[in-house]
Amino acid sequence: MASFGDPLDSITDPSDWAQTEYPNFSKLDSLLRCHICKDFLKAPVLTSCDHIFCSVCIRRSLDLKNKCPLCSEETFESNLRKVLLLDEISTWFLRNRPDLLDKHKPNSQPAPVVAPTAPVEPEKPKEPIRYESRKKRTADEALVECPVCSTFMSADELQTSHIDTCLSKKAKPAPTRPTISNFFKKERTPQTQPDFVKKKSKISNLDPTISTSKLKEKLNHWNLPTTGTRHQMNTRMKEFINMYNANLDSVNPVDDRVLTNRLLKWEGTYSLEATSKDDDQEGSQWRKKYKSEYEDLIKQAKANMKRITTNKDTE
Amino acid sequence: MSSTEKRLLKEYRAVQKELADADASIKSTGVVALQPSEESMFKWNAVIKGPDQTPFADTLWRLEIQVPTNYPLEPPGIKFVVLNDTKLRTSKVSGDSKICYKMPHPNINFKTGEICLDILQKKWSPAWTLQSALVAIVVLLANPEPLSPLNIDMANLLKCNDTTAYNQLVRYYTEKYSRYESLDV
Repeated sequence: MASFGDPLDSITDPSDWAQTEYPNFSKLDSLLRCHICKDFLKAPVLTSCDHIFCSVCIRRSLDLKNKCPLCSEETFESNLRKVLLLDEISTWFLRNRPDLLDKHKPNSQPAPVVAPTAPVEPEKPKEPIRYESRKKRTADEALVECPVCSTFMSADELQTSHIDTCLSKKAKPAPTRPTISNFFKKERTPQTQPDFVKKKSKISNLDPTISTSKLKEKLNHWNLPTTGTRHQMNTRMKEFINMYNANLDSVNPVDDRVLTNRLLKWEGTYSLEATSKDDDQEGSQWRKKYKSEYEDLIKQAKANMKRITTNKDTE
Repeated sequence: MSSTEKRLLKEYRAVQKELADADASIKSTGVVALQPSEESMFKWNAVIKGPDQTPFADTLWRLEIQVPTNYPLEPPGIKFVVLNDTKLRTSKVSGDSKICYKMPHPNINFKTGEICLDILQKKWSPAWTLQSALVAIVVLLANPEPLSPLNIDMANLLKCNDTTAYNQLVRYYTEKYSRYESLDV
């Protein structure tokens, strides 16, 4: 059996509640999960058959076939509707989960299962690492976390100024000092997205017959790399469209540049290169293996052609 | 960590929890063991138990699972572990679980262990898990579908309604090609 040690500690499961004083929480825990990734819903969307998935999960799935994973009824991407309230609920639950687990732990025995302080590599800031900083801030719902440096600030500040400096790696610590303008800013009302999202519209699906130059144009337009084979570019563009559209379904959307960063990371883990190389190799091996047969076939075909033309001539 | 690996870890945790209460879980699902192999997170090994009230009852089978890189969008490749006679007899093992290395079933390839099951191909849905796919295989053992066979001989017996012969043949193979070994090899 493979030993997963640390990564496994960071994996949450509805059964985590079994050891607490309130095991019924496991029901809520499993209800708030996406049926595709089995993780807590992120930017949930409702299908035309009334089922809910993470936006990015169902978009990836519908890329392959237009069927609902739960009831296999025909479902189309254009029919997906975001459910902001559920996004807020799921985010709240995810944030407060470690705390809740902690509070409902039976006093007599320390539960060994929950290890929220598990060390996590810095490039994948998942739940455990956020937990420490979020715990202090749970009361302040209006604050959002910078996806790059993990500091907390208001959504507007993040969008207008912070993200630029953070992404251009100026290494300037974020000004957390409250300013007068911050003081007067009204908080976002529940179930609404920040204003900058409302101006954006979804990217339409990629036409599979798009020419390579058009595809490159499209990638350039979104500041994505145009390296690699056609297949790689295609996959990259498709995934970006999924990420971009899913981001617009989130109650706490991030900047496009953050998406680009995520996409490049995703490409690293997905090992696009490896799969496409295999394809090429298979092709060349195939060609080598059947080289003589191909040549024979070509000879035969040429001979046939000759015979037909000479026959015609004699007639 | 890719989303596929993350999802596999989640499944691993869920299965671990469930198999902790092994007896109840095996009784309800027929899945005896399910875990990733030592070399890769994308290769899993499993053991299932033949369903009660069928000729497959009281016998265990090993299965190999190959997880594609874009799982769960694509189905896992699952097949029975099949050993030939010499391999089965030469390697020395001991234990108390009766494991069979042949699978005589209309929808399972006798030589390769391949499984013909719609949910492992066209009807796969990303909402399924490795465990639920295994449960479906256990159900397939109890409910063969002789109209789309991979093993024509077994299918023909069922088409002719010769259940006695079918049951006897299954019993013959499960007795002849089984050996006792420990589960965690």
